[in-house]
Amino acid sequence: MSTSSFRRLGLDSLSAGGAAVWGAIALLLVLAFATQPGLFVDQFIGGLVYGLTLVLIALGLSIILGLLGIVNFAHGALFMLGAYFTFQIMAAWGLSFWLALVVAPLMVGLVGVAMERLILQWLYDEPPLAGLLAAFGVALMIQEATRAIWGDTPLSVQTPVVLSRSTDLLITTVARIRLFSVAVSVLVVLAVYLLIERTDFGLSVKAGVMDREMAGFLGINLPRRFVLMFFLGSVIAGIGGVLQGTAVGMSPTMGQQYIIITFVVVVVGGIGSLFGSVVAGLLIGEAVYLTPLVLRSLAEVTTVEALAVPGIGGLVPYLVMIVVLLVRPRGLYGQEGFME
Amino acid sequence: MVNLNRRRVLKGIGAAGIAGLAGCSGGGGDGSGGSDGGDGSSGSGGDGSGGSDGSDGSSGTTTGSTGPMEITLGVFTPQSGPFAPWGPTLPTGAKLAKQDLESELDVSLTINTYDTKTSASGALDAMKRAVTADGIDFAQGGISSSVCTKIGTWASDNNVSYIGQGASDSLRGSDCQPFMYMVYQTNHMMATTIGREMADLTDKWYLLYADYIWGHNARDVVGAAVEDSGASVVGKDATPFPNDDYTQYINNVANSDAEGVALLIPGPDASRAVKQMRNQGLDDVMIGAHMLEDMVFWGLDHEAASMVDVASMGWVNSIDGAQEFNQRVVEAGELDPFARHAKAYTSTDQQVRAAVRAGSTDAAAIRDELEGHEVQSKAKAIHGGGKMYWRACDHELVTPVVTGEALATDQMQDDPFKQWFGVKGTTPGDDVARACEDTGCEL
Repeated sequence: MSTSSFRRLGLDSLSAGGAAVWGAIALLLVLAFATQPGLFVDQFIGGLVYGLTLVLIALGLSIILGLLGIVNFAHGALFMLGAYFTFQIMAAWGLSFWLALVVAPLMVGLVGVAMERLILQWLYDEPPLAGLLAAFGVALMIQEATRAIWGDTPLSVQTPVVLSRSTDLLITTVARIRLFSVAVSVLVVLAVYLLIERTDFGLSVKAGVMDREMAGFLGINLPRRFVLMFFLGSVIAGIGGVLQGTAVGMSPTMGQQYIIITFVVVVVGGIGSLFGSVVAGLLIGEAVYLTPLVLRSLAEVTTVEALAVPGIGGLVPYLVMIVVLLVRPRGLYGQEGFME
Repeated sequence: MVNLNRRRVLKGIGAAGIAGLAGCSGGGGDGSGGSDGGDGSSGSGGDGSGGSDGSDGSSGTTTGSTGPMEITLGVFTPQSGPFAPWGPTLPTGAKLAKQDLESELDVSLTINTYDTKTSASGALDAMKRAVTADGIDFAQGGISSSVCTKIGTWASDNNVSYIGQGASDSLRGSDCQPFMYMVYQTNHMMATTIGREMADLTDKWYLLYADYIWGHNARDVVGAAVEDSGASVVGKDATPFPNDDYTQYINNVANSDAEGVALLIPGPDASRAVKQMRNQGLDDVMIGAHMLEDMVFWGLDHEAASMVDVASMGWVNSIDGAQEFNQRVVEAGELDPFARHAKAYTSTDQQVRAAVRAGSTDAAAIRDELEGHEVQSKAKAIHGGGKMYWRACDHELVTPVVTGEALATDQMQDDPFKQWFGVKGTTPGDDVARACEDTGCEL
């Protein structure tokens, strides 16, 4: 790994204490793997899928927060809409999952654009609280509209035949829909990375995130980019909704359940940092899935039953956030002065 | 409003009315004759001839009213929050009972509906408004146990009779109240039933339980029942509630020796877990579900729902005797017939009949009528005809527990209403109810 890569991951300045902590974590993971290898792989992939779902929501959230300074509470509702549009396309209209995977995110993108043009654009120069409250109101409106159209009862769609079974990975089997979710999410993250880092459009957006005023002085048409980035962020959330809705079903509260945890991801990653959101999403996803297994393995080895705390998974994201903020108050990759 | 209610009685207008009320309370009102028809308590031990005869219930306390006994009922139902999908069922069940009661008895029932918001505080606000501003005579509803505890306690403290639909044991235990009653079978009854059935199916079970008091209680009771019946519990996991993604817990099941998994998870979450198990390819693992309400599966496809091997249920629309009721629910409601319709019907039916027998909506008078009373009305037929009675020691409506099983996919009916689960058996309520001295309730 190159020096710059180490620097980016923050490993260049790793102290002896930090190295000891990472070493201990690695040892615990090895212990868990040695104790139950099949389960470890299952949970690792589960954490990867969960983490990538968080990443898909957090990316859009982070883009919008970084570029527009809006705490978009409605982003969870857009994720939920992705799932419900999938239901509409597949169950109500009888079309295929593959079509839904393309069309539903685009529909969500259009909803996002409408939200930005009709409501949020008027609040860019207002205090952040105004944008937050407006987005919260929009989230409630979308949720209630969803209830009115599709009802309160949780729904689901038929998983495509090719994805409906599990795949044998020698030491375990994993649901194909989950592997497919991993593949799609990785492609989306790569595409966003290339767009932001390798295109003029992306670089101008980055410039806007770093210094909106200066970017405007340099002739960058920021309002147009705002709309496009809002569209992009919404589409990504929509993709997450399609995948999650197909794998586990949809309900009007699914957006709420994810939005809080996604804010944790954004905070842990560092507000405004796309790279940070990816790292934090994966970190939290894996922590949620592997922590209970590690504790159970530790309890087995030490015969201290109390170590296997039941239901610890739900607490893990917040524990991770507390630890990260204690060590790095701006999050893993937060920039000094940003949103401060 | 020419009304027979607690407030009028408390105002003490008319010695005859007071005397009539006293007669009701004293005699227990068996309604041996009278127009309370089938519900007359013929089986309740018929303690006597005292009290109003129940013929119309209005004599003696209506302060001169000659019209039907007028009652205002508050139905508390979740119209928002996690249990919102259940919301429309409670008013529908109450309305069906109202139709039957008004055609059979000399009673006029007004139903007010209130949103509990699936939260204890939201429900309490609604209850206070219903009693103090709207003047309801008695109340029913509430689905989650925390809601039932909150509004039931407040109602009882304020001498308002209340029948809830919570299943938690504490509602008939440490939290029981003098004027609070529960119409749903208890967590203990259903968990004991499913535990025994699961042990009959296979030997090694994994328990997935919702991480709150209801789930913990179910874990303990089901685990004990499984082991008492000769099978074993090879693992257990607490799952968050509510929750979308059960993957990590299903992974634990898949990597254990378990031949079956017990879903001790309420509401729609259970159906999500089943769908994810199917995606994971766990077709050869038996599924036992505790307190399953089939409505939560109606959003799934037939194949996923058909994975449920055995389930304890408060009621299911395939039960013998429910055919006419099912048809009426279809005609009246937004949702296909399921347990909450039947329980709401029973709550209204029982509370109104008790008031008619007592000739009063006073909470103490209704209590005298309900305690020990055996149900003989249509509510009994709807529940399959087994013995149903109000236990005096904890105010539980002791009712048979249904053991259901998913039908084969080609036998699942979607029209005119969904019928995906059949009756595998019924267990008499007394066989699985806790002994009175074990409940912790001191009524």
